[in-house]
Amino acid sequence: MSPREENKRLNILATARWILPVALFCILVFCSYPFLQKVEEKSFFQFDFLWFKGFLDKPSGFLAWCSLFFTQFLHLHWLGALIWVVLLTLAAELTRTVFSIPKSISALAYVPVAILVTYNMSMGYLVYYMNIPGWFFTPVLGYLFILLSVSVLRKIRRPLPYTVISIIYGLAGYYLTGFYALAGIITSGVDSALSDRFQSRRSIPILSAISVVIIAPILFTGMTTYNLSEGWTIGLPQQIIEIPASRLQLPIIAALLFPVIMTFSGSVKYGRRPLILYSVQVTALVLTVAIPSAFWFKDDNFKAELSMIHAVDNLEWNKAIKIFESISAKHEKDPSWQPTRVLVLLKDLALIKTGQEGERAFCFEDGSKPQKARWSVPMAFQIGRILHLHYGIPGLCNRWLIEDAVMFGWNNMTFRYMFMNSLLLGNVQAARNYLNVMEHTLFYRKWAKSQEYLCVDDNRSLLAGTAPYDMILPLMCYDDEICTDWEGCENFLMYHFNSIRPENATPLYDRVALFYALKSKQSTLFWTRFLLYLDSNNPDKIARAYQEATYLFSNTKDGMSMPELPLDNQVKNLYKSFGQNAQKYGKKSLEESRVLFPANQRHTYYYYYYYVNGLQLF
Amino acid sequence: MKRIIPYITGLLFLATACNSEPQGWVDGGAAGIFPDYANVTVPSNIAPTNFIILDSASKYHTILRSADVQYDIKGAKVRIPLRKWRELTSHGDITVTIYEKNSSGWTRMKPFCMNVTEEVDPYVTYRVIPPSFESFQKLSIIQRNLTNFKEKTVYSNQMVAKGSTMQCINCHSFKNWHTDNMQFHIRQQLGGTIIYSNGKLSKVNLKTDSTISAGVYPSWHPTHNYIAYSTNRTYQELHSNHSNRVEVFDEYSDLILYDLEKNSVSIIENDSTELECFPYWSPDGKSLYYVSAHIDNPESFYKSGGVAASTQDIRYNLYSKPFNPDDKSWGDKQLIICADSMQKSITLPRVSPDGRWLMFTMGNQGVFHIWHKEADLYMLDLRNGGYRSVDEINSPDVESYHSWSSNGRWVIFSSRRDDGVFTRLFLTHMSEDGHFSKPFALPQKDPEFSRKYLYSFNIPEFTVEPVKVSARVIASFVKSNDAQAVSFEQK
Repeated sequence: MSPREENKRLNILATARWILPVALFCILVFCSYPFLQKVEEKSFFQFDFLWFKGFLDKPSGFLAWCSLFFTQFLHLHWLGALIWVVLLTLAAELTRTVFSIPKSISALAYVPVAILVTYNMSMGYLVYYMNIPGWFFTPVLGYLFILLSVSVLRKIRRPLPYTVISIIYGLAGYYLTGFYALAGIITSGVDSALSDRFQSRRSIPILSAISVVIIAPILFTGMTTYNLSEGWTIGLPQQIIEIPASRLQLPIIAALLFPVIMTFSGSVKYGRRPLILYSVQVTALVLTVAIPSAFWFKDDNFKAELSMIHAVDNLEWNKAIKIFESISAKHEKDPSWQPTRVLVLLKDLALIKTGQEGERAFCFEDGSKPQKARWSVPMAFQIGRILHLHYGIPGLCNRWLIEDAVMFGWNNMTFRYMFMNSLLLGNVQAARNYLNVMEHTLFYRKWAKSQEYLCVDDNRSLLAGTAPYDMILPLMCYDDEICTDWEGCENFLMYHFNSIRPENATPLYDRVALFYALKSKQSTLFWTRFLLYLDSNNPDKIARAYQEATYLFSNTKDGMSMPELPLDNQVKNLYKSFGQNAQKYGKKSLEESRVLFPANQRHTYYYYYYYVNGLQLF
Repeated sequence: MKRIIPYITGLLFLATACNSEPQGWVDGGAAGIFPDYANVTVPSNIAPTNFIILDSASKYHTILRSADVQYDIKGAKVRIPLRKWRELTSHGDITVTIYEKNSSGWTRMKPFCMNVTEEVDPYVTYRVIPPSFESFQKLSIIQRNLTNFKEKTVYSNQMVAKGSTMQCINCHSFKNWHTDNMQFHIRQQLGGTIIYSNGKLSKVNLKTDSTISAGVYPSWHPTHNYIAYSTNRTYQELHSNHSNRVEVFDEYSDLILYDLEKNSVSIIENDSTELECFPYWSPDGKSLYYVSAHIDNPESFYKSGGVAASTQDIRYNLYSKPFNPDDKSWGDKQLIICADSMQKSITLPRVSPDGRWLMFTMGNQGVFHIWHKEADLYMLDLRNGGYRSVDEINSPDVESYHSWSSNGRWVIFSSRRDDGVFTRLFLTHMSEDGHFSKPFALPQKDPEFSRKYLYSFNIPEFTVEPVKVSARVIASFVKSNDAQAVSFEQK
């Protein structure tokens, strides 16, 4: 191959690196947007000096503030993704420039960036636990700071100014970025020591770096009130609940080691050995694709959960049902697939809110698939606020909002739900305060302004005509009680709606209570609730699930006979055909029975009653 | 030179015009301001009472006047420089006039006064806590200098926290408003009661085999080296549909006395038919005030669910118990107020330094009134036994923890009157006849602070001097020392 052709080929390979950010952007925008939305919803940024000042309490606070600034743009997920990809690309290209990596092996500079991408996108359920503000953007910004440190300190060519400036720069940098400044100063120290600038005094930059690493945490611990043992890793995520710090820190540290390794590359003579360059470039490209692909968190249930939660947060009930339908359809042929309880409960809630629970509640696959996570997240932290708010239990909604805010930081969703919950509890001034906070944000300002009209005294009748309160207030017709749900939202809802009927029960309350009576499979409770439902709701037509339950419980051993109720023939016929199959197959697990029964029989209350057993309720 | 003079004159004119009182105004009503400092009585050494004008207007002009001193501020945020504020307060009462400009011109809002009176203790120590139920991440005990806005961390759980192993810190307390003797508790990681006494730190575990728990609510004896505590087994449950949100209750509680010199605890009260709590010494140290709820037939009571099952019916009465500090002997308890008979419950008795008044919190039931919207402050005149609701300082929302200043003229108390969620601190001045001035919010540098800050303040305690031991020293001590066991003294 002629040198010209070799050059051409290497140039093509060099250009190939640009595919990486484009591909990443497309994947983020089209496949991972629910995750990005969740990252944004779990963060908070406001333009407020007092709030900003709070970040300056300890080292790395400024970096967290900057990261949160960028995180807010994930509200428009394509914009946030674009900013992140641009920063990552900038980090890679600066790595290439700072360490003089030839274009022919430019993909090498993308390896640490790939690790940073992997770190973020491998989080999965940990997104609920990440309590370090701005964690999504912090690593890339920190990485950029390290490159900046190397570039700046390289410009100082004499030992004494280097010592003074590197120490000042290190201390100031530590206050702004914490761990990343220490990493930056070490990288610069090694870089300078290996350079020709300090030929006779190579130890100076190393000693300067060591002194900064020792002094900075001790100095700032004395000035602020954090734990010295965390001083050397401040700015990195620390241990969260049972998740060890190593899981949260090592990937970042691995990425940051790259610049240190690259400082040694100054002595490498790349030369013109096409085969080696070609191999390096291809290997780097493979690594940048393989590492994220291997660790990227891919789970359909998780993705569907995030999408459904997002839909419910925006009161898009039909969209939530569609998401459930779509994931069920996708796994139609996979008998091992089950929805998680979060999916089931959100689907049930959406059906109730759209008045479809009687007709369609049992027309979907049921299940309690465990989260695909090493450290599973209690359902209360995922959707406790949603369930308790929309089922009219504001006391418990408030509890989970506060617990979440205190443990994992106040965030956009907390404020939104706090506002709604305060209105339900009659606490108008608190609601106003939460709106006031939201009005200082970029993306929730408009929403906050649109809600101001609800913040008036005696707003009960106003709320009664406004979504979502119109569907919540009728469920708050019961007397207050002292209670706790521990972390079992679903069990609590079962207990709550299957308890004594409130004196002032509303038609909606009776509807929901009937639904939960069906879920409980208790025939006596069903009959009681069914009669109350008929009395208060006076439906034109009895919904399918209630007909099935009526027919089923009339035909069980101790069942009550309800001959006066008009039942569809289809309901009776399905019971017969289901019964025949049930006799044929006998007792089976949920997974086994799913293959054996046709869909029309599976999607009945009969099937739910006999085959949906042993679910892990939360 | 001649050329410059007109410019200088013009500039001077502009400068004076900028600060001059608006002209051509019409009278208006009272201005809406936050925090509400209208017609309050403030101590002469307090920090500037910065506030924000809530009324909608295009321009604002505020004039503060005291005798011949005047200070003008433009804009809705009225932030008064400390030096200027000192100048104003040194001349006595301050009149505040607010002008608001809208499309029809300037309106002079009804002027209000801030009465300036005797000094307050310069420091108050409080705990900063999120309004959570079970979780906590960041808890700090902070000392605030009331004469300015400076805060100093006395201790923060962040200083020793590591990962999920967190500390709860609570119940800081000082002896006689001085910081030579102070204490607070640490629960969970590296737990114990931290006592700083005459320059020496110690960490003790007040739990013994004969007591329910470690010490909880403390009260330093005014003359001897004793601290009275309650011991409590505390639980909490949530309201499903009530703005009170939480019910915190004691299944069991008693009172103990800790003798610092002997490092021993003894029982003050441990009647199995009573739930005793919140001990507080009289200024002479010869009586201990406390509250107690009666339980009929404890055996069947606890079998049928205990306090958890009957939180609505647990009510605390006010008692006192004579004490001889020299030989640690106790007299018989005396019922002071039978709140139970009025379907009420008393907590947090606090005697004024002159021994005449006893302020307490009273709600409908229970022992943890910070979560009771109906809870109000009451005053008992110990000379004649009469008591009253202190309506002039109470609000429709919670009033709870309170403490007296060393001169007995100021009370600082916690209230959720601002928004029903976050606990804020308020000061009020008491006249000689036991009446209080309109309470005012603890001044903050940013007047909007209370509306934005997502933490509560609780347990405000006055001191006349700053805490003498640094947070870093305490943290280092906490980390390197195990809690020492205490001995139990039989009666």
